[in-house]
This record gives sequence, structure tokens and C-alpha cells, in this order.
Amino acid sequence: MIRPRGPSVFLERRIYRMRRKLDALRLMPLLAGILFLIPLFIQPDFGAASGATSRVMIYVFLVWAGLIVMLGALLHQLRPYLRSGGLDLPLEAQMASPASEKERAPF
Amino acid sequence: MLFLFSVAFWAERLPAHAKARWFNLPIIYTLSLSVYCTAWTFYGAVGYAARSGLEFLTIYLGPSLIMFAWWWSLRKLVRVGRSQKITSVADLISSRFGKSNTLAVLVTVLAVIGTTPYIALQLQSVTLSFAAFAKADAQVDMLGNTGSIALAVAVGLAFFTVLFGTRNLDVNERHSGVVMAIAVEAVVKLLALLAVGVFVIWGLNGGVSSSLQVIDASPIGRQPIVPARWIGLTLLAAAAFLSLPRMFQVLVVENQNEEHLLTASWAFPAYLMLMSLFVVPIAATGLKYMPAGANPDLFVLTLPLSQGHEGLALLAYLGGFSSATSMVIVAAIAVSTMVSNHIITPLWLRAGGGGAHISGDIRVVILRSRRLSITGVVLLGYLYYHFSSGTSALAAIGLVSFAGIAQVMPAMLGGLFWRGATRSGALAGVSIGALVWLYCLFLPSFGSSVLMPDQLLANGPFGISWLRPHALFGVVGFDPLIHAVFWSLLLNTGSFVIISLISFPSPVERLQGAQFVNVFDHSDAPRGWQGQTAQTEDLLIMAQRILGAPQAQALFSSAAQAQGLDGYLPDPTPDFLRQLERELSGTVGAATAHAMIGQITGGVSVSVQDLMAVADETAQMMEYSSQLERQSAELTRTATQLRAANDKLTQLSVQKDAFLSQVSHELRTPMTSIRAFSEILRDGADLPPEARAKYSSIINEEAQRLTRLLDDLLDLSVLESGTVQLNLRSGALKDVVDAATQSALAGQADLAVKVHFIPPHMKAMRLHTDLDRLGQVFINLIANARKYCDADTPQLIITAQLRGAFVQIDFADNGSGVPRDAQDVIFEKFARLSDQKAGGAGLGLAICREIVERLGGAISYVPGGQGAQFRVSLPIRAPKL
Repeated sequence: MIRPRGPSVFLERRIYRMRRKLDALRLMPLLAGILFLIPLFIQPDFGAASGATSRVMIYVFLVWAGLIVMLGALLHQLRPYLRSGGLDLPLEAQMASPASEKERAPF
Repeated sequence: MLFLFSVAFWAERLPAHAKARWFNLPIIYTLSLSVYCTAWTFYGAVGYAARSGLEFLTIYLGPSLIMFAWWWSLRKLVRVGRSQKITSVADLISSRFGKSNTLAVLVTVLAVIGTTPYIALQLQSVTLSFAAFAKADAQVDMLGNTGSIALAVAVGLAFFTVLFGTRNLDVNERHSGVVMAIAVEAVVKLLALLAVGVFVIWGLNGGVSSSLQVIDASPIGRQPIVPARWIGLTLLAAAAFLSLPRMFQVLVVENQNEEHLLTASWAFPAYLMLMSLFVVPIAATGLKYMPAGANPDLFVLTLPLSQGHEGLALLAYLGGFSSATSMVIVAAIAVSTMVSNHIITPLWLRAGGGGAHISGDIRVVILRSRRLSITGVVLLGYLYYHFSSGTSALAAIGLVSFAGIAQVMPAMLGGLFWRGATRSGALAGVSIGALVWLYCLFLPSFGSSVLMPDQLLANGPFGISWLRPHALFGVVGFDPLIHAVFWSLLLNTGSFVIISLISFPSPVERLQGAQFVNVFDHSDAPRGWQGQTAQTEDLLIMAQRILGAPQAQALFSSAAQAQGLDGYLPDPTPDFLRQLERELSGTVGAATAHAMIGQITGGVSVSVQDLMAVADETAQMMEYSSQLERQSAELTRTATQLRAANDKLTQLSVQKDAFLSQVSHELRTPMTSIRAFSEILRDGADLPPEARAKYSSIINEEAQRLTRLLDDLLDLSVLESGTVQLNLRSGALKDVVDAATQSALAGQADLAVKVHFIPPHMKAMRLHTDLDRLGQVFINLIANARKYCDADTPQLIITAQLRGAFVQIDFADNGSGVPRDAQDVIFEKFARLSDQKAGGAGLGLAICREIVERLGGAISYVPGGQGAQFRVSLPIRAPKL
């Protein structure tokens, strides 16, 4: 098979990326919720001087900082897209957007 | 405090463009959200951590989760708030559920009950911290007792809030001075807490790892995480973050630009994280260094003091003071807006009778009521503090307050995401939730036997054990807070959903519901006023009172310009009224604005039913008009036909008259000659025989002519009456044509006749018809050609063709044809092309038509040929009559 020359089959690769980043943005609260629940699942031994408290504390703060950095980075990349009207997307408009129709168009 | 005033003053005094630049910074918005971190957070978090370990983190994790979920929650909330000009939580809920003021009052009362203890808490923290600070420093003499400090702080804050919180009325202009002061305070408290934290970790404990050891060695290290409380408190904090009046104020009302959320969504969690980063180390170190009886709520302050770092302690004091003051200011603004818009102004309007029409500046009234509310709210907080200075645990009352205001949450979220949510459902949910909260949490929180008898707490009302406030429905062993939160929110949400499902929303509710839930689809309102009766001048007078004269005039004149009018008075179109209502609702709240415009415009908002009725009528009208159109088209057609018929009749009548004179002439001419010659014969006995024979033959000829004329007339009348007898037999078409040609030409060669048969074998074709009558038709057509063809060498081409079961015979001559206007009438009786050439009586073609129709065929004139062309088409077998 010879790969076709010229533009890629996925014409809207950039928009596609943006939309998947938007999906990630939408899923952030779920991820955050799960991560913040993990200290409960582990049921650390809070015995005397076991060090569990400081470990949980470090875990929570690391997760917290990680989420902040992640969200900040995502929003930094999404900013131009969101500014150009992306903020107006109805909550439901996800997969069935015109851009994803375009992505399938070559087939 | 002085610093606060100067910052606010500076911010207010900034020139407009600099102001815009400063306040358009997303960081200002982010910092203003820090009003969430009150003195409770600043001092209380350390105390909380000292008592319950890591659980205090939930208070920060909840709001962080909301910010992480900003795409789902805040984006919509802020958009709704901006597009509907929402002024408070109460306004949001009232606006969503059909602008119900009852609901607004309910939420306002809840907010006041929830906020008052919280303000008391701030005052208490300020006094406690001041006392702690003063105790350590002997030089500073206490300004009387602690109560007077609290009073002084309360008065100062009320003054500040009144000054900067009610400078202008339209919330749209926002409180730039207040927001700036809060942002500055946010920095102060963060720096203060970080400074204390750094001092504790590196100054006292000597590094991070040794600090961790201190933590694990302290009682905090033995505090387990209780899953129910961890989850419950996180969710409670998240709910409170959205619905606390002060948070709603900074999140939604003071939001300058939706894009600020892009920054705040990660920067605010970062702020919260930094605020809580050193809380546990400070608590653990405090427990280690401070004497056993020391109040952990004040560790932030007392720890540096005990180590002789008074400068740091002063910074910490300033941080705590900032936290307390910013909370009191914003909460006072938010709650006073609610109280003023939903309780005082409606009452005043009602008491005023004439409502918006009565004289006096409403602006002044609203400002006054707002200032009064602010003072009232702060005073209420002070009184609460004054009379309830029992509890020293700051955090407890904070959570009670959270749980109270969280009762708004189901109605708020339901209203934003579920179109089926109704006013009745929201009313039921909020009131039931509030009652359960009061009963299970708020009243017991004052301590035993203060507001709720011990006996009731232990055994339930009237000894009904399943109604015990801390063990509702017999559920025991629950933490009281989680118990109350669980039951109140469960019953709240349950009744909200169930009542919403079984009740029916009013039209305004349905419209508002659609606008809230689908705010991203249409940010413009389809909610209309019937403006025809509205007096624009009255509206302007009212708007001037509320918005202020210059703003109102600018609004009206721009609306007038948009409508293409000069001057200040636009037409009261529904669009304009809607715009005006929004502007007004930014000042006095949606329900009041609606009511005010309603009073002036005659009080009718167009309901959906009205719209439906109008639409229905319109549809009926359109249906009716299309029917009319159809009928009218039909009538036009009929009229055209009638006109054509009339033309024809008129023409016929003219022809008939012409024919009658012709007939009389035709009849009289032979008659005259017959009479004359017969008289000559009678009188002239001496006439020679030749002359006698000649005259006799003339008489004979004339008589024959008369007979022929009468025969024709008779023939036609027989054909027309349908009593003709046809003599059907078979014969070749060629024979009939040949015979007719010979007969018509009568031996003369003045017309060249050519006959074509297509296909040629048609020559032998036999017809079954009345051959004699057919011959008569052919003779007539050929004779006509001979008579009327005006070519130099007249020529007639007869073409016979087979067309299915029909034979089509064309007679085409090379003359000038029949004129267009005569083509219609040539087959009528008595029609003749010209009187000059008249050989017959004009009955020939009429007879032809009758004959051909009798034979089951048709005869027509074919226009557009070279000359005249007649077409006879006949069935091969004539139908039996």
C-alpha cells in the first residue's frame, strides 16, 4: 500500500485533539473524586506513630497539586479554542459535534 | 482596617480604563473567591486539625472538586447569572421557578439564619485573637472588655460595607472597591499563614522530615479518617461553596468575565491547597509546644507569640483579621441584597399601594433599605455573638451553617439541569430540608437546654423515640452532623423530585426553566410583555428612580435609536420591556422588576396559554385566508369562463342578427324575382315561347335555391335535435373522397386537389359509417376551399392518416386562412367569413360539425398552417346510436 500524499485523512486533527482535551477536562472531576477517595479504601493503620497520617497527607497534597497542574496545562492549551466560542458548547454536545462528523467524512 | 478603607477607596477612585484593566485580571477574580477562607479557616482549621486530624482537608477538597468540575457547574451557573442578571441565590431560585417571591423569601430567611452565626463567629475570632495578642503584650492595654472590641469591629465593618457596598445600585456595575479590598486581603491571609507555616517547619521543627515526625508523634497521628465524615463533609463543603450567599456573590454576581473561570478553575484550588498546606504541621507543633489547656483555634497566633516572634504574630493577626472582615463584608452585601430585594422592597411596594407610580425616588428607598439590611445583618451577628458566647469551638458552627445553606442545593442544581423541576417542588424541598436541619442540627447546636430541652434530645418529642433529633427514624450511631446532613438533604431532594413530578408548572416557570437549562442554546429570553398599554414615559420615570437619571436616559435613548426613533421615548415593544426588566432586575431582583413593570404596563405578562391562543387564532386565520384564496382563484376562473362565454354569446347574437337580415335578403331576392317573372308570365299572353321558357326556368331556379336554403335549415335542425337517422354501411375512404371531390368541383378546374394516403395502403381502407353524410362533409369542406381560397393558383391537399382507431383527414389549402378572431365562430350556425363571397347561408360548417359529431368524431380548425386547414377525425367504425 502506498500512503496517499498530501493532507492526512484526518483533516481536522487539531480540532480533534482539542475535543479530546475537552473530554479530559470533563472527566477531571471524576478523576479527582476517585483519587481523593483512595485514602478511604486503603484503610491505613492509624496506630500510634505509624506515620500513616503524614503519608496520607503527603498523598493528598501530591494528588491535589498534580490535578491543579494537569487542569492548568489542559486549560492553557484549550484556551484559544474555548475563547473562540467553545465556552458556549451545550453540556450535551460531545461526540455528535460537526467536527467529529468531518473526521469521519473521508470514509 | 484603615488599610482596607484606603484600598477600597483607591480602587473606586481609579479612572474607568485603569479600573477595567485591573478588574479584568482573572487573578483578581480568583483572589476574590478566597472569601471562602474565613477566620474559621484561618484560625479554625488548625484547631480542627488538632482535634480531628486530616478531616479538615475536606473543607478545602469540596470547593476544589467544584472548581475541577467547573465545566459542568460553574460555567452554567455564571452564564445563567449573567444572562438573567441574577443578584443572589434567592434571586436565582426565585427567577428559575417562575419569579416566585415566596421561594425567594424562604431562601433569604434560610440565608439569614445560616449567615448570622457565621458573622458572630468572625467577630468572636477577631476578639479572641485580639485578646490573645493583647495578653501577651503587656504594653497594650485592652480597650475595655472584649465585647466592646467586637462591637467596634462590627460597627466599622458595617460602615465600610455600607460605604462601598451601596455606592451604586446596579449589581452589574459590581463592587469594584470591595472586590479589590478582598483580593488584597486574600494575599495578606495567604502570606500570613505561609509565613507562620514556614516558621513552624523550618524555624521550630528544623525541616520537613522532622516536621512529619512531629505530626506522627502528636495526637493527630492517631486520628483515623472516618469514611462517612470524609465523604459527607467533602460533599457538604462542595455544596456550600456553590450556595453560600457570599460565595455566590463573588462567584457569579461579581464575575466580570466568564473567561476568568479558565484561570480560577485551577488557580483557586492552588490557593486552597496553599492555605491548607501548613495547617497540620502548625497544629501538631502547637500541640507539642503549647501548654495543655491552650486553645488550638489560636495556635496560628499564639505559637509565634510564645516563641517571641511578635512581628510574625502581628502578620498572623492581620491575616486572621483580613479573613474575618472580608467574610463579613461580602456576606453582609449578599444577604442584605436578598433581604432588601425580596423582603423589604416588596413590602414597601405593597404598603405604598400605588407601587411604582407613587412619587418619591425608589432609588433612595432601595439604597436605604439595603443600608438598613447591611447594618441589620451585621448587628444580628453581633447580637448572636453577644448572647451565645458559649462555644469556643469555631469550626462546629461553620459546618452547621454550611449544612443549612446546602438545603438550597437540590433546588438550585435541579433548576439548572432539569426542566421538569417546579416551583412547588422547590418550595417543598427547601422548606422540608430547612425544617429537618433546624430540628436536627441548628437548634441542638446551641448546646443542651439552650433552645432545645435535654429531654427532647434524649427521648424525642412526647417520648416518640424515632423522632429524636440525633437519631431520626431510629437510625442511631451516626455522627450528629452527618446524620442531619444525610436526612435533611435526602428528604429535601426526595420531596423536591416527587412534588416536581406530580405538580404542573406555570407558563412563566416553563419558559424560565427552558432558559436556565438550555442557557447555552439561547441566551435571549422568549418571555414577553404586552407593551401596547404601557406608557413609556411612566417607565422612564420609574427607571430613573431605580437606575438613576443618566443611566435610565441612556438606556431609553439607545433603545429609541435602535427602533429608529428620535428622543428618549422608545416604543414599548416586548423586546424593550424585556431589556428594561433585565436592567431593573439587576438592581431590585427579578421578581420585583417583573412586578414593577407589570404595574405600569397593566400587569399582564403574556402567558404561554395566551401565546398558544394567539398562535391558534393565527393558524385558523391563515387556514381561512388560504381557503378564501382558493375560492377567489376559483371565482376568477369562473369569471373568465363566463366572460368568454358572454363574448361568444354576444358575437353569436350579432351574427344571428346579421344572418336574419341575410336570410330575409336571401329569401326575398328569389321571392322577388319569382314574383316578378310570374307576374310577367301571367300578364304577358303575347310573350314569345323562348322568353316564356326562359322566365319559367328562372322561376324554377329561384325556387330551387329557396328549397336548398330551407333544406339546409331543416337538415341542421334535425341534426341538432338528435333525431337524425344515420345510414351506416361500409365503404372505402378513397371512394368517398373521390366522389366528394368530383361533386364539389363539378367539372371545373379552378382548384387543384391532391389526395395523399399515409400509409398508402389506407387507400383500400374501409370505413363503417354513414358514407353519404361523410361525403356531404367532404363536399362542404372542398367547396369552402374552392369558394374562399384566395391564392393565385388555388390548391387543396387532402391528407388521410391512420391514428389508432381513428382516421384523420386534413383539408389544407394555400390561401390566407381563417382570421384569428373568426376561428372561434366558423363552426357556429350562420357564421360566414365575409358577406361578399357568401354563397350559402353560413350553415355549411355548422352542419359538418353536427354530422361529424354524430359519427363519433370531431372536426376542428388547425391554426398555424400555410392556409386554412380543417381536420376531420373519425372512428373507423362509427358507434351505434
